[in-house]
Formats: sequence, structure tokens, C-alpha cells
Amino acid sequence: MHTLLTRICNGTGTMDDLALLEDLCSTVKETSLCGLGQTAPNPVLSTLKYFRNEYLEHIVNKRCPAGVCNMEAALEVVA
Amino acid sequence: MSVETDVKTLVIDEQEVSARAGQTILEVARENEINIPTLCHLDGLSDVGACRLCLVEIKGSNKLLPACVATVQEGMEVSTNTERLQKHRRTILELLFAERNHICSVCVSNGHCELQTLGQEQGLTHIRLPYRNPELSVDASHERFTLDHNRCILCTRCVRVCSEIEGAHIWDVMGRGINSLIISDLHQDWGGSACTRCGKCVQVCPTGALFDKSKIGSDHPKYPDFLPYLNLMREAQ
Amino acid sequence: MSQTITIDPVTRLEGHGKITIQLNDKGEVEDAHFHVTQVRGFERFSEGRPFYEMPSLMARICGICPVSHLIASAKACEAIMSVRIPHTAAQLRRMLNLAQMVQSHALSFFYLASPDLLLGMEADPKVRNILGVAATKPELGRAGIALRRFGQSIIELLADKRVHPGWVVPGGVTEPLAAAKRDKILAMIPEAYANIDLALGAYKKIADTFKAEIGVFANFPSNYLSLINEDESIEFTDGALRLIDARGKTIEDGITASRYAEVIGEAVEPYSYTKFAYYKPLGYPEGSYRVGPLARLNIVKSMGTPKAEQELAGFKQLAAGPVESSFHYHHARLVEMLYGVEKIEEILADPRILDKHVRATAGVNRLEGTGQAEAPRGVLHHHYKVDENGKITWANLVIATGQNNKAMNLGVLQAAKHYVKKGKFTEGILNRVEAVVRTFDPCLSCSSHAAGQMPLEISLLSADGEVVDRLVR
Repeated sequence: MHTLLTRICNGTGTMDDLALLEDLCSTVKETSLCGLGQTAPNPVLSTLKYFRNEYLEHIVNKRCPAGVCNMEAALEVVA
Repeated sequence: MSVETDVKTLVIDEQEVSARAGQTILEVARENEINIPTLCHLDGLSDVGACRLCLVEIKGSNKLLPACVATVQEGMEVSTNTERLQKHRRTILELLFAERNHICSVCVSNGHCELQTLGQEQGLTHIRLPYRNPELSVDASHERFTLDHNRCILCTRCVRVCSEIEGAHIWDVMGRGINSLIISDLHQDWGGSACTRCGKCVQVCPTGALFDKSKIGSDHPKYPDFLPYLNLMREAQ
Repeated sequence: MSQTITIDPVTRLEGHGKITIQLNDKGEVEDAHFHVTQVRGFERFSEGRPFYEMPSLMARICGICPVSHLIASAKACEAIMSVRIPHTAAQLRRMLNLAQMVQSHALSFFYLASPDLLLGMEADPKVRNILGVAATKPELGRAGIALRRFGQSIIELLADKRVHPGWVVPGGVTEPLAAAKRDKILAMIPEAYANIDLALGAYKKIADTFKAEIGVFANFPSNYLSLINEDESIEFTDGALRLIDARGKTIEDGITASRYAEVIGEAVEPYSYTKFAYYKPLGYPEGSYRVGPLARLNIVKSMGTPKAEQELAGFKQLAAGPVESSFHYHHARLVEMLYGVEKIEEILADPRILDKHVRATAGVNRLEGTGQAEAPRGVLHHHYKVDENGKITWANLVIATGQNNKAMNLGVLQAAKHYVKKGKFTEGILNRVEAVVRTFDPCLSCSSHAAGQMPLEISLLSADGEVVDRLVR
């Protein structure tokens, strides 16, 4: 999950990564034995729910609307 | 509880079945020839509900229950093979494959590996997750057996068989999360441990993580079926 | 203006390579190189693995000659275990290696080389392939396919799998041979003879028309190295190495696997991922030598089987001393295939081949082990070091293609100098340059410990690396 998020944050993520991230969150949430596992994906799921457009912005336009992420890696790929 | 058998009736996959109180969903399902995939469960050993492959849906509950440890209740309606479960099972298997270095082609268990077989049964065609490719060691210090951490899925069957059946408790788990590792004694070389050389752990290992040194190539089928028989004979004494 | 011609990738080889030809101001060939452009790192990632896993791991280097790797690797492991394997196991392995040699030579001759030989060096590249051969000479196309199947079927019968079988293990083999399987193999032999006869006949008829190519296809004196039996007959699996010089005089004899590292060194050139092997006392590059079918037939005094013996006599007449043109690799390959079939028949005639005792067991008794075997394209050497638990601490592989590397480079230069004049080249000329490399049947995947499919691209570069002309097919 961290790897996928990192990829999305530095601009090298793809739409497949986003789908995979959602799958992974739901599996971890629903199948975990302990309370930690059951709740750990919640922050990711919440942001996916309320800030989905920001994820898309990172993936499609390689841009961080909040100006927080360093997108140099993505620019290298594009260049 | 009275001597009379307390019978529960329930529905598994739309099939009405009856069970004795205290039986697990998995036991009852298998008695009725309903297949639920498992990895950490092994007949004859205690259950830990760790691999999460046997999760089933119960009508009326949003939570998924591990069939190997959940006991039957009167009137339960269990679904063992819904789309949601299949998806989770595949993801779990993907996670297992991505976690360590599972290279079937050169593995002693190729062709008779429980992880590989489950991957095939669950229709796993590729791993979407990035492989972690951790650098793990091989313990070849034992005169007869080898432990290859690269192929270990931390099912802890070896830990349980050594402690519960052999009574030696050589194996245990150290570390947490992705840093977990099966260790012998207090993290000594297997060869230098108090191992009784019985080989049960090798037989119960679902993958090629524990294997016999004399078995090379993919000629290493394992025979864990001795456990229930062994238990039965012990109880009879 | 000086220029460089690049042929990339070179077609009809096993693996990915390219050729560059450097032209000087007058458009004459100044230098030429054959580059192996991939690296695989088998030696590195075997570190830390238990030694008895090595045969199955090393077999993965190559899908054409996994058996040779299996055998060399198993022998290195047996040196670590200090065991001698049962006679039957040794014979079974010998048969497996021969079967692979036949299928690999069939692949090299029919699939990769015969389009040049049968259709001509100048033939349209669109039809200059095995399908083109099958269309114009259907009986030869069929023979090639059948011979390849012959070898592959034997491998499958013996070892359960055609590619990367797990049957060869340190100490012997896992399963004895069943009588039914032996009979199946025996039943395939007559057809194999007929197909080789057909190929030999066809080759001899056309060989004369390639005088020009024979003259310049790596046609130069060199040293040769191969395995040989004590009775000076050809050997693929056991025996010891012999090195002869350009006049056929023995320089070094009885080189067992353990002495190999004393005698053979490996040099590195900046333009290739494949190392260059050489005979240490002579140094590099003077100590370079050739291996493979040509070297084997130049070194041995006999084949040890009647039909191949006759063919060997014919082969030896090609030159007074060692046969020098690499073009004759093709001829040598056919002779060896004949030997392979004969020898398999001979091995199967011994009732002991069905013996059930086919494996020796032992632990780690030495911390270092070496093993050698003849792969179809030349001698192969595996060298391992292990810790006291039998985990690999260091591995080195010396592959046939590495040993032919210098000769291939010299051969490419020789052919390029002959054909490329005044900076001009045609597709047919460049095909000849590639065909030089093909005679060696190099296995680039083995040598760079690499696999790939290749179309062909040729570019003509000026001295400063600018592309002047480009040809893609």
C-alpha cells in the first residue's frame, strides 16, 4: 500500500495502481484478524472517498493540487 | 454439557447440514464435501486462523469469519464461495506471492506445493502487486533438512507440529509483520538446535520452505496425512 | 570519412548480439567486433543457495542446452560430495547429453544455418528461414524437424520434460530407465539415421559452391580445446580436456575439471558482456582457442562408432592438419549427430542400462568443486565454492561461447574485410558477416548467463557516431 501510495504521490502511479490500492484496502479491512488491520486502511479509504479528484490529478496530470508532493520523478519520466 | 450429542443444523452454500455443537464450520463443510481453501489449517493440529483464506460469509453479519476457528451455530447460513470471497482470496494469495521469493521453477515443491495449487485453483494468473524481493537467508546447517526463508509463508504449521505433536518446540516465530521469521531455538542455527530430527515439520510445510536435503529437483511430495492418525492412536492409549 | 557499420541484432542466433564494423577514411574495414549485449548474473544470484540446487538452477540459463548445464553442474556438485556416480547413471546421463546434442545441432543446422546454405546467402531475407527451406526442400525441412524431435523425445522419455528436466541430480539421476522407454527410443533410431544421411548427402553436394565463404569464414589457424577419452575417441560427458595448437600438436593434455582454472583464464573486453577465455601459458589473445564441433573433430583420432568413423575420415581430408575454416562447423555438426545416434543405440544395447541403482548420496565433503562437459557448442565448465553447510559462496561458469569469442570476433573481421569494400555493403554481404557468427552456433544466453528474439537492424555510422545509413528488416 505504501509502495502504491508513494508511486501515486511522486507522480509515477497509474490508474491500475489506484484500482489495486482500493482492492488492497478492502481486503485488508475485511479479512484482518485484529482491530489494527481492520482499521488501518481507513485513512486511505477516507481520502479515496473524499479527495478522489486529488488522486486523479496526481495520476493523470502529474500535478499535486495541494503543492505538497515532490513530482520530480514524474517529470523525469515525461521528459 | 449432557452426554447426548447436541446437534445443530445450519445451511452451507444452500445445502442443509447438521453438525455437533463445537465443530468448526470448516470441519462440517469438509464432512459434507464442500471445499473451503486453507493454508495454515492442517488436520491434526490446532488452528490459528492466520492465513485468512478460509474466510466465509455469514448471513446477517457484515464480518467475514475464518471457517477453521468459527464454530457452528444453530440456523447459521454460510456462503463459502461468493465473488467477494474469491476476490479477497486472490488478493491474499497475491500478497503471499509478492512478500517473499517464490520461484516455482527451481523449487523442490514445484508440482506439489499447497500455495501453488491454491494459486491455480483460485485462478491467479499474475501478481498485480510489486514483488518485495527481500534478501533472505537459507539455513542449511541441519544434517538432514534445509530451511529456505524465501519460500516460507509463515503459516506456523511447523511451529505447531513441533510443539503439539513432537513436543520439542524447536520452532517459533520472531519479529513482527513483514520482518517475521521462523526460528529454531532462540535463533540458533537449525543444525545446532535441540531438534529431534523427526522431520514432521518438513512433512507439514505447505511449500518448499522446509525440505529434505536428499530430495532435489521437484521430487519432494509431502505427506502430512499421518497427523490425525497419530492423534487417534495417542488418544486410544 | 571513417564509418561504423552496426548489425544489430544479429539474426538466427540463440540470444541477442550485434556486430559493428569500423571503416577507415578509405572505406576499408579497419576493425570489427561481435558484441554480446546482455547480462544475466547467474553467477551472482546462485550465491547463498544450497549446492544441490545448482543443477536445476543452472539449467535455467538456457533452453537449448539445459542438459549440458545440468551435467556440468551435477559433476561440480559431485566433486563437492566426493562421490563417483553409478555406472548406469553415468551412461544415462551420457545418453541424455547426446540426445540434446542431436537436437541442438539439428536446430543450428536446419533452422538457423540451412536457409543460408540451401537458399543462398543472397536469398531474399523474407524467405531465408526455415519455412523457406521447408517450401523449397521439403524433405530436408522435414528431416530437420524430425531430428530435433528425435533428440527432444529422448530427453522427454528419460527425464520427463523436454526443457529444463530435473532428472539429473548431484549423485546421479532420480529415476532408472524403464524397459518400455528404452524400446521406444530404439524404435526411433532408424528414422534418425535416414534423416542424417539425407542431410549429409545434401550438405556435401552444396559445400563446394561455398568455396569463397569457406575461405573467409573465420578461416585462420588457432588452438582447439575439447574433451577426449583416453583412447583418443570423442567424448561429450566424461574424459579430460586436450588443447592442440594450429598444427595439431598437443599442447596440454589430461586437463581434468579441477585443473581447469590453472590452465584457462578469462579476459574482459569493453565491447561485450561475454568474457574471452584463453590458455594461460600463452596469454591473451595469443592463447585464444576454438571449441565446439570443429575443435572436437580436429582433436579426436576416432569417433568410436562405425558410421561416424567413416565420416570422420572424410572430414579429416578437408585439410592436412586441423580443419581451419569455421564454415566446416556445419559439416562437423552433421558428423557428430550421426555419432550421437550411433552412441545412443550402443548405450541402449547394454542390458545394465536398466539397472535400478542410479544414485549415490553424500553430504559436503569438499568446499570446492568443478565439473566439465561438452555442450553442443563446446566445452562447458562449472566451478563452485561452498561453505561447510553446502551453501554456494562463489560460482564461476566458463561457457563455450566465451571460448569461441575471440575466434568469432576475428572471423567477423576477416569476412568483413573480404566483403565490405569502399564502404559499400549490401544485405547479402552483411548476411555473410552474420553467417560467420552462425557457424559457431553461439549461445549468447549462456555466455552472458540472455534470451531474446531478434529482428535485424544495420546502421552505418560515421566516426563520430552519426548514423549515415540505416537498413531494417
